[in-house]
Amino acid sequence: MSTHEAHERLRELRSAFDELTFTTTGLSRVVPADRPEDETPETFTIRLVGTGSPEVHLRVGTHATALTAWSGSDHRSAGKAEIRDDLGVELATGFAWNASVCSSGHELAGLLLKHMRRRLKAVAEVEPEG
Amino acid sequence: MPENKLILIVEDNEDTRFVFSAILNYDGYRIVEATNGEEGVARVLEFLPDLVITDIDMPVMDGFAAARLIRADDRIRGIPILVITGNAFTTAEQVEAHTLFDGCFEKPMQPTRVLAEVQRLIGPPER
Repeated sequence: MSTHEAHERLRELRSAFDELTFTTTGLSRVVPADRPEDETPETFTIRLVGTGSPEVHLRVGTHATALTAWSGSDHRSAGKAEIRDDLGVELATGFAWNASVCSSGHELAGLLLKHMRRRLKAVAEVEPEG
Repeated sequence: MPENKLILIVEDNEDTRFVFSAILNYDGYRIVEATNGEEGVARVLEFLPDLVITDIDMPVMDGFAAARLIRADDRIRGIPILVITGNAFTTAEQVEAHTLFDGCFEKPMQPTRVLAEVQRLIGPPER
């Protein structure tokens, strides 16, 4: 399968997330300072924050996607908590995530956002020590 | 106010459990998880879910063995079971699958089809 098609799907997925940032509180795309906004990326990163300092980053690539969630510093000890998920997102053959294949970048972005919300909820519920 | 319907996902692959949870959880269904058939049967008895979604190939106890135990127990035999399979069933497995399972997903799955099949069997998330 051509790399070109995988990159096209990555671009479509990035656009889908960009649309979601307009309607989803706390969701944004991290734009690196050293790369022009319109440059075709090999990867892109989406950030989701809640009401406090906990946050989730999703780094999306054509063959590898990783989620990292941090509990932040709302509690004295909460900053120690971190969750990392390596997600089987594969864009070479379709909008595939593990055993599922989505019909569009929008559908896959929606599923990945749901997983980000789940992880944000999990790290936000970290109990302080004592 | 009654809690929303509960679905048990029995699957040894964590990433696949993430996918099912993403498809179903934020559409309102509550989710509990198990990582093999033995743990799955225990969770069925503990939580009495509205639906079980199970993989076939798992360590400790596979999906067929777990479904046989569920169907043999009067307390839980009526709970619908959806099966996920990555490989074609043999003829004998097809016959048994017909008696054990209420539906089948072949990998790769389409999220919209998963949701439609779940709704066909147990209706919307709300009781």
